[in-house]
This record gives sequence, structure tokens and C-alpha cells, in this order.
Amino acid sequence: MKKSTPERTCSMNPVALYFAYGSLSLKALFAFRIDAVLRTLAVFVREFASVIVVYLILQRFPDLGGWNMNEVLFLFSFLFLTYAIMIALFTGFRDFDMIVNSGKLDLLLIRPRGTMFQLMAYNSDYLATLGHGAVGITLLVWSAQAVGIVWNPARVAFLLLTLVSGVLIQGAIFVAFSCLSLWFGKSGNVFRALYRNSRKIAGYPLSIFPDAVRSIVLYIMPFAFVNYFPAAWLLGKTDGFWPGLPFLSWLIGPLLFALAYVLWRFSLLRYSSTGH
Amino acid sequence: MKGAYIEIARKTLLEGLAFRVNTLIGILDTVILIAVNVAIWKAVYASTGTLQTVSLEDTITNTLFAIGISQAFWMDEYSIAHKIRTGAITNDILRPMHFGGMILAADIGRAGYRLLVEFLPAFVICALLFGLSAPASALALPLFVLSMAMSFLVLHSIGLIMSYISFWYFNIFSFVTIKNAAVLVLSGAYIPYWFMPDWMMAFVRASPFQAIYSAPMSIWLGHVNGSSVLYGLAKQALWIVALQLCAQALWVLGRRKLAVNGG
Amino acid sequence: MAILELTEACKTYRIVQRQDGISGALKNLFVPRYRDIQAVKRISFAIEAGEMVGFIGPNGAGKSTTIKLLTGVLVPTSGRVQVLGLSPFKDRKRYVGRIGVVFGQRTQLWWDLPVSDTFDLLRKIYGVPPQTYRRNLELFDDILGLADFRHQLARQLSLGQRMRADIAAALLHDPELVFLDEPTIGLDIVAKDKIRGFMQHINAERGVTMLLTSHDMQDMERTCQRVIVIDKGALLYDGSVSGLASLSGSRRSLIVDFNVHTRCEPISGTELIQENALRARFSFDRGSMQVHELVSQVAKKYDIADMTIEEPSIESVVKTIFSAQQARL
Ligand SMILES: Nc1ncnc2c1ncn2[C@@H]1O[C@H](COP(=O)(O)OP(=O)(O)OP(=O)(O)O)[C@@H](O)[C@H]1O
Ligand SMILES: [Mg+2]
Repeated sequence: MKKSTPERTCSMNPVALYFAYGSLSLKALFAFRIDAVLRTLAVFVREFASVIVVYLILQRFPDLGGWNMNEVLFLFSFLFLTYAIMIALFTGFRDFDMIVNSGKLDLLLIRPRGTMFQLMAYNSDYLATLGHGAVGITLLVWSAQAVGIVWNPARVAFLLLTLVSGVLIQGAIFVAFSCLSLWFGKSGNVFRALYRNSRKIAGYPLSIFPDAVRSIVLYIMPFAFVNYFPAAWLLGKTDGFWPGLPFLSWLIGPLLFALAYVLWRFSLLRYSSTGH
Repeated sequence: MKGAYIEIARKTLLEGLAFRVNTLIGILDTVILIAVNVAIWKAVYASTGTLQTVSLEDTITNTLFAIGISQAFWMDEYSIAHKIRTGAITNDILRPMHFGGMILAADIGRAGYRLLVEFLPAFVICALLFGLSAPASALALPLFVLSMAMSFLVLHSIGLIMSYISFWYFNIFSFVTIKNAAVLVLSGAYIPYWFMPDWMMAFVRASPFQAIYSAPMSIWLGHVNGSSVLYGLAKQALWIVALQLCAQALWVLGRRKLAVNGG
Repeated sequence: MAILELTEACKTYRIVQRQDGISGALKNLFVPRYRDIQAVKRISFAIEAGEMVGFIGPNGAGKSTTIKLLTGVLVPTSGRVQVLGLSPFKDRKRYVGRIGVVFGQRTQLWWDLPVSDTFDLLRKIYGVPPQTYRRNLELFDDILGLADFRHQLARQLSLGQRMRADIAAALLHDPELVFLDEPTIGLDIVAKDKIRGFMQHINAERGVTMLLTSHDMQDMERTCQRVIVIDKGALLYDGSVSGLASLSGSRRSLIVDFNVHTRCEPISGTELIQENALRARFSFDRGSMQVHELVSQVAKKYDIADMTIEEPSIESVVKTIFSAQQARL
């Protein structure tokens, strides 16, 4: 047989490759069609339950720290929308402990593509995207109309930039926690607890919380920049904070993500694989 | 024989302690969760023109107990389901023990660990920070504990039913998730029963959800007295029996199916 | 010219040591105790282009760890790893595009999808030109019989089929160098033979350099010219397979199962090392006694149900080498 020298010119560009991965993810998910539909529904119900809790509480009371029900739901919708997009991109970091334990990370490391890229592309949880996305869009459309927001180009641009930044903030958090787990061993539970709590706090106007609680979503997991400041600006509320903060959100997302990326490159050298 | 079940409970309890970071996180997690919900209640009670029949203090007490304990009463449906799916369950069936009993022992161990090591410290911290109402009477305290134990059994039984679904349906994620969502809204932890709208209350009264946190909390807060306390307890016991019967039926049918498949 | 060089490579794992009981658990909580495991201790060797090298050692010897150092999965604690002129972990992306890796213990196939889907994705990841891809698929169909199950879901494959698909997946992009960690684990003789034949073919026809680990001495004898033996993280032997065989001694055992209760008489040139009513075990020297001669002798004398020849296990080989080295010191 003639020994061929492979011409390596057909390397696929990352975006096309990302979609190749994505279509396989979807294909694998929908290999069990009924189950996929049921699970999407379940995620939707689970997320909607937290909306119902807010709804029921605010039915009995006129407002929550000066925000009425529709305003709180508007605030809430950002969390679902950003999470829906974020989880499509960062599932690999959410499941990082499991990927390490099952030895899958070894398999990613022997491929000639970036590790972060592969973790982002590989096996995305599109069910979560659908579930959260459905809740997010429903809430946003409904509450924006109920509070009477007039959508002009500036507001739409503001919303889009905010969503991008919100995705990056949460992506950075996921990546940073995967790094922690490389340094300190399994830390998935620390991560889940902090993340869950921050998200929970961020569902309500920040002004109602004592300083200790508030500082969690300002400094530790900056969820306040994902939804509170931007939503307040769109609703024309000042709530007593510095008026530049809503615009600072756009900076914080990219900045945090850049930091997380550097940390990631550096932490990967600490990886110690699993047995076998 | 009884020793074996106790041993299972002890093992699960120790397993919890083995993961060092998780213990501290568990405490912190519960404290934050309670603090957030207390802040919400304070804020809504402060809103103008509110007239409520139940005091803020009682609502906070409900939050401390019900949300705190709901963190401890978390069943592990997936590990049993995994055993059923992989056939590893045959090992358990071969043991000279009652399967449901083994699961109960493990659930008790886990809940015991979480109550003692995670809930208790969190509860003390939160009680000092936010205060709480005293039990309605001296007798209310032991009855509350009894009722809370029955809440645990209700949740355990529901969990058992969920796990046994995997005899027929390989992935129980959807069922468990929807069940948890229902518990979140209806159990009385996040929305105390006195804030539930009437239509919802009507449904909750006729369902096992009332037997979860609404029953013990109404005893502590003195919202029920005399014979209605006994009525509430009896209702809880009845739900446990009904749910256990249901679980047992699924178990018997499921085992038959396992044998057909060659387990 | 050596394309793979390992120089004084070390890898130390650090793990948290669990302490027992309630007080131990509490201690874990506040003062964790660490333990270092030296999985690889100052190992050096070099491999030339086109070689096919076996890598053996008992469980926990450090084989997989060494493979992970060589494939850029792990960063060495100290020492130097240089393969294809690159540092596996520093130049990872550039490097792994030129190698193929099989971890026999875990699959790289997408579990819920047909094998062909994983192949197609790998083609895109590595940027394999269409004609190369087609040519390789044809070859795999030919020698590995992949066509039979290429469109089946990965989770529905038998272990042997899965392994064949995994090996094919590692070779789709024409790697110059292939690492195989236990590619025959859990397989029957037929499947093992198929895989051995395939590895030999790839090595001989394409000049692909290979390093493979296994617990089966037969794998080594059939496919490799050279073996490297390690134990407890240290290199014990590096040389020809025949050299290893002579080192490990040429004694074999013949195990005979009888149909009826039998008392054996000694056979000259052998030693009767174990006997009970239905089974006897003769130890003999392969150098001085022909196997077929011994077998026919035994078969003539007794009513026999079954016979097996027992090869020395890797463990006993390692033990022999180890004691031989001790004697030399
Ligand atoms: N990720 C890890 N973390 C900690 N220790 C590890 C890890 N991987 C392997 N070890 C330890 O390092 C040593 C060498 O393991 P390794 O897997 O390299 O052995 P091996 O030769 O491949 O064994 P086997 O034949 O059983 O596959 C063992 O003592 C093992 O317990
Ligand atoms: Mg190994």
C-alpha cells in the first residue's frame, strides 16, 4: 500500500464543528423521543413552579420592596433567558465533575481541539435550554406588556447586550468552579449550593435584602448584573443605586469570562485523571 | 435482624460526614435559603396597607422549620432507580431483608445526618438572627415532632413510588422533577398554607401534600387545637398507609416484571 | 531516530486520605490528610519510528499513567517527555492530531448514536480528507469486519465489536503513532486474534509506530518485537520478547483432567506438582520436552477429559525478573 502523506487542509472551522457536535447532541437526545419531550416538560414545570411561588406570594401583597408583581416577574425573566442560552454553551462545565470521574476528560484531551471548545460543544443539555427558554420567553413577553415597556431600538439593543453579558457572567462562574474542582477535588456541591442560592436571591429586587445577602450577588456571584440592574433601568426604577451600574453589566460579563479563561488554561495543568 | 437496618442507617449517616466540604456547605446553604425567604416575607409584610391574619413572626417560624427541614428531607430516588435499571437490585433482593425496610433505613440515616449536622446548626443561627414563635403549648412540642416524623414518612413513601416507576420506565427524571415541583409549591414550605388561595387549599386538603409541612406547622403555631390536632395526625397516618400500600403494590408488580426480564 | 523519548519521567498523584468513623470524618472536615502515590518513578526509554512495543506489568504498575504522560493527558511531575519532537502537554493540540489513542477500559464512541456518527464527527474534528477517510473505512471493513455493525448504536455492540470500533476510531486520521491501553481486555480468542492481526497489519503496511499494554502475554508474543516491563512505577526490563521469555524461564504446566478417578505415575522429564482424583498438574521444561510428545504420552496412558497448557502469568514473569535482578546486584 502506498504510504500517503495526509494533506491537512480540510480542518473544519470551529463554528461548523460546534454545529456538528450540536446536531449529534440533539440526535442522541431525541433517540428517545417521548423521554426527551417528558424531560423538557419536567424542566419547564420545575422552573415554572418557582414563578408560581412568586406569583402566589405577591397576590396577597401589593408590592415587594416597591416592585409590583409584573415588575418582579420581568426581573425574573432575565434569569431564565440567560440560563437557557448559557446552558446550551456550558453544559460541559456544569457536569464537569462527572466528566472527570467518568474519564471523559481524558478522551477530550486526546483530540486536537481546544479543551474548552470541546467541553462547550460536547453533549449540550438542550432540554434545559428548551425548558428555561420557554419559561423565560413567556415571562418576558407577558410581563413587559403588563408593565407597559415601549420597545424602541435603544431598549432592544440594551436588552440584547444585557443578555449576552448575563450569559458570559454565568459561563464564567461555571468555568471558574470547574477550575476549583481541579484544584480541590470534587466541589460540585459547593458550586451547586452557591449558584442555586444566588439565582434564588437574584429573583427578587436586591433592595429588600440585608447587606450580607446582597453582597453574595454583588461580589461572589454577580447575578445582580445579570438581571437586577438592567431590569431596573428598563423599568425606569432607580432604587437608590448609582445610575451607571446597569451599563457596567456589559463590561463585567466579558471581563469575568476573560479571567475565567485564563484561570482555566492554567488549572488544566493540575488535572490528574482517574484510575484505570 | 433489626441491627442490620440500624447499621444501614448508621452507614448512610457516616457517608454524609465523609465529604467534608459538603457538610459546611449544607449548613451555609440552609442559612442562606432561610435568610432569603425571611427577607422576602419581611419586605412584603412591610408593604403599605397590609392586613394579615397571621403574624410575620409566625410566617418566619414556618420558614425556619419547613424550609430548613425540607432541605433535610430530600429523598434519593435516583440511586434505587439506577439499581433497578442496571439489575444491581438483585443483590439487594437476595439479602434476607425487606427491601422497602432497607430503603427506609437509608433514608432515615441520610435525613438524620442532615437534621443533626446541617439543619440544627443552621436553625440555631437563623433563630438567633430572625427570632421565632414559641410552640403554642407544652403539648404542642412533642406532637409537632411526631407530626414532622410523619411528614418524613409521607415524603419517603412518595419517593419510593417514584423509584419503583423505573421498573416500567427507564428514566424517572421527569417524574421526580415534576413531583419535586409539586412539593415545592404545595407542601406549605415556600407558601405557607394560610397564603394559599382557596381553590389551591381545597386541592391541598384532599392530597398528601397537606400531610407534609402544613400539618406539623399548624400544630406548632396553634392553628389547630384539641381534637383537630388528632384529626390532623390521623390524616397523616392514613396518607402514609395509603402511599405505602401503593408502593408495595408497585414493588410486587415490578418484581414480577424483573423476573420476566431475567433480572 | 527515536520519535519517542521518556527521560527520568516521574508522576506523583496526591490524594486525600479518608479517615474512618465519626471522629475521623470530622477530622477530614477540618484537617484533611494527604497521601502521595508515586505511580511512575524515573522511567526512561526511547522508541524508534516503526517499532511495535509491548508494555506490561502487574495491576497498578503505572502503565496507564505512563500512557497518559505520553499522550499529553497528564503533566509529568518531573522529567522530560518528548514525542514526535513535541512536548505532549505543552503542544497538546498540535501533537494529538498526529497520534491515535485507545483506552480499552472506556469507549470514545457516542453511546446513544450509531458508530458511523462518531466516525463522522471524528473526521470533522481531525479534518480527515475525504479520500483518506474512505480508504480507511474500506480497510476497517475488510480487516475488522466493521461493516457488519457500523450502523448500530454504540451501546448495543458486544464488547468485541465495541473494541474494534474504538480501535478504528483511533486510526481514522492516519496517526503516525498509536497508543493502546489494554485493547484486548475482556475479549475472547477470536476477537483478540482479529485485533492482533489488525495491529500487525497497520504496523507492517503503514509503518505506524505502536505502544500497547496488555495483561495477556500472548498479545506480546504474537505482535511485538520488543517489550518493556514495569512494576511499582519502575522499569524492570526493556528488550526483545524472546529475551523476556528466556528470562521468565521456560517452565510450563500441563493440566490434565480425567474422566475417572486416576492415580498418576511419574513421567520422565516432568515433575508431578499437584494431584487429586480427577486432575493432575505436570511441570515441564519447554526447552527439553516437546509439548506434543508429552501430550501424546499422557493421552495414551489415561482416560482424559481435557488438557490445558498454562503459560506463566505476567505476575510470575515479573517476579522472576525481579529476583533475577536482585541476584545480580
Ligand atoms: N487519577 C489517579 N489518582 C490517584 N492515584 C491514581 C490515579 N490513577 C492511578 N493511580 C494510582 O497510580 C498507580 C498506577 O496506576 P496505573 O493506572 O498507572 O496502573 P496500571 O499499570 O495501568 O494498572 P492496571 O494494569 O491495573 O491497569 C496505582 O497505584 C493507582 O492506584
Ligand atoms: Mg491500566
